[in-house]
Amino acid sequence: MAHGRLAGTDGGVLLNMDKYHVSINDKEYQVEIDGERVWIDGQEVYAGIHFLNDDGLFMLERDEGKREFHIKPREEDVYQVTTRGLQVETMVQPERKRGKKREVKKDEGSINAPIPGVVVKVLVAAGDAVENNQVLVVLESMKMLMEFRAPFAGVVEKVVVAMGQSVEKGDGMVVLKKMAQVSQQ
Amino acid sequence: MKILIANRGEIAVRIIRACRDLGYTSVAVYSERDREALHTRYADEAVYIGPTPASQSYLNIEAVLAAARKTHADAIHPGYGFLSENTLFAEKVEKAGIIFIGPSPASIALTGDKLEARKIAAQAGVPVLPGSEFNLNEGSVPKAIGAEIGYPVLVKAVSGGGGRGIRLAGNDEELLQMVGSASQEAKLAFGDDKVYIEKFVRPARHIEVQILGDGAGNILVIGERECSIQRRHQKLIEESPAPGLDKEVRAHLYEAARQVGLALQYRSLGTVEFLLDENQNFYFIEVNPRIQVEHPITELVTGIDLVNTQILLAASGCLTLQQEQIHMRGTAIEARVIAEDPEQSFMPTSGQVSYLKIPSGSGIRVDSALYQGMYISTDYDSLVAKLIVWGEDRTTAIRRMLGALEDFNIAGLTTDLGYLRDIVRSEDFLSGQVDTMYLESFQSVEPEDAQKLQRETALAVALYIHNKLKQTAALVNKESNQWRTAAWREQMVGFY
Repeated sequence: MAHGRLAGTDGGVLLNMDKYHVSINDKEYQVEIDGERVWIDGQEVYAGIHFLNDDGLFMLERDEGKREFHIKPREEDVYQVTTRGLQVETMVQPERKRGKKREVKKDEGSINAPIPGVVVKVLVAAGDAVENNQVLVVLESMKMLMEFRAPFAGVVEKVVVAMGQSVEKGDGMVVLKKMAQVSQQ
Repeated sequence: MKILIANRGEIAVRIIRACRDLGYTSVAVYSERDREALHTRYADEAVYIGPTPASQSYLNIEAVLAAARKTHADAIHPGYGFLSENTLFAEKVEKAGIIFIGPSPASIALTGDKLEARKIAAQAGVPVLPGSEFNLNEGSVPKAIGAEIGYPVLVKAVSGGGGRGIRLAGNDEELLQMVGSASQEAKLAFGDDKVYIEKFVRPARHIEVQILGDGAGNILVIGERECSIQRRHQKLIEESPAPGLDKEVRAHLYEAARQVGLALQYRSLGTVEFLLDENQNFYFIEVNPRIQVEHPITELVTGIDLVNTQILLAASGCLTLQQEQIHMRGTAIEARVIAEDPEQSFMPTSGQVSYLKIPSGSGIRVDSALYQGMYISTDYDSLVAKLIVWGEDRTTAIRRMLGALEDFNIAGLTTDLGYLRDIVRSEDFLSGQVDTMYLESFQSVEPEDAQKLQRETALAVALYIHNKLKQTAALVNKESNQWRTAAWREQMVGFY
């Protein structure tokens, strides 16, 4: 066992122990904090924190040196973290909140408009088989034409927009089904 | 002397700084969106010119002219983009008795027509790429063109610029398709759907030469810039001098640029763009009749302030600089920080800058209109800052650029900062072996220390959240304790 003092945690021996699950780029880290003591993925490390202002700027102090971070809440449990050479979205969940974890909705088959614009071309119809990278819709925005391509080979489930239609940021335009999902049915 | 800057963003701020250097009064113009923009605060005076859409403000010739008349401006600097290459605007400015800080309207018209510019270059003895001289929109595409030049070919907008309206075609069928889409985009961007065809050279480097003319037959050549790091014909990283450029080829390029300038009787700052193929043959592409986005790298290697020089030339009409005085020293590199997401096919991003850290130090320059708290919208160009570094040699410049890119933090929206870092530290960039198609196949390689940094970040975030939760809890406890104390005191009252 990485740290024997954890024995009996489940029995509620170490009441002051706080545990956090941090996700960055699909990788999850577990950080445990008990007063001045800190563990990451079971390994005890030296880590101290100094707040630099009231607006999310702070400094992490470690054996090997110090590093500045800036943290900005984006949505519940999600923070944008900026440090020298890295800017990432992180998800931080305290252990006791974990049971209430929301299901992250990931409709990977939906092609959404990233910015407002006007649909100038719809190149597919429902039921069409599309190749990976095939152009589905052309959007005009800021005097630019932007092509939206299929992120995978599949079948068009639904075309939500029509030529000439205005779309807002985040609006769905085309819904795709993956080949694998299709063949399973 | 009072100068109105008919632009916004970093270039407006840049020109206002030049006005300060010269002791001239500056006038900014702004749209609804830019009421609080940095350029409006930097200028000595600022005039509102219309609603947010550029067509109603920064592209509105009458509104800009009215602002110049109202403030009694002596000159107008158009910057780049917007009205900078608009012949009608330049004509109206001069007719109003105001100095246009740029080329003559005739030069703008000539260089604006890419086919005309090709002809002028060819007549001046400068090599041009094989291309069609046909107006492709009159009737169907003559397939013979593609076959005659040889595929692949580029379809380009006659009134093009900024990489818009350019398409690659590998065969007859694609050519037909691309002529359609290029002219459609050209119509949207430039109001002119005419396109032409040019041989596509690969591998090729994009090298441009800075010229400065007095309009009376004197042309100075102020170094070259390597601009091969492009993404879909949009420059991302520029460098001066061009790495590994043969001395003799450089001399020929300079002479060609000078010849083009002479043929145009060129006035003011301009850039002559060339393609250099792998056999060191170069071909004229086009002339940009304005200050370029990437002008600072030339300033850093030559020590010449191009904008100051351009303004003084417009004010006095004569060049004080001489060719023998122009030398390049060291290497300068520029990286364009744009509000676009490299992981979402460079879709424009927007957001409020919640935290901003701008790099500084020896040999580091940042041209931007950024400030903490500003909202970056998708209403205008996505360029938010230019990071420019200088080093005694190329290696120093690259290291300096990497350090500065790491120090550059913009929180609140996605930018290409990480992508720029990946390019600058790629082996091909380090060796100077890049061509214009480099980014089309570029894949970021995650360095070994990235995992470690991510782990540190996880640790930092957890500690931060933990401390914040504890602080909040302490505050709640304190408040409830105070309440309890108060309640207890109230209860006590009755006992007295």
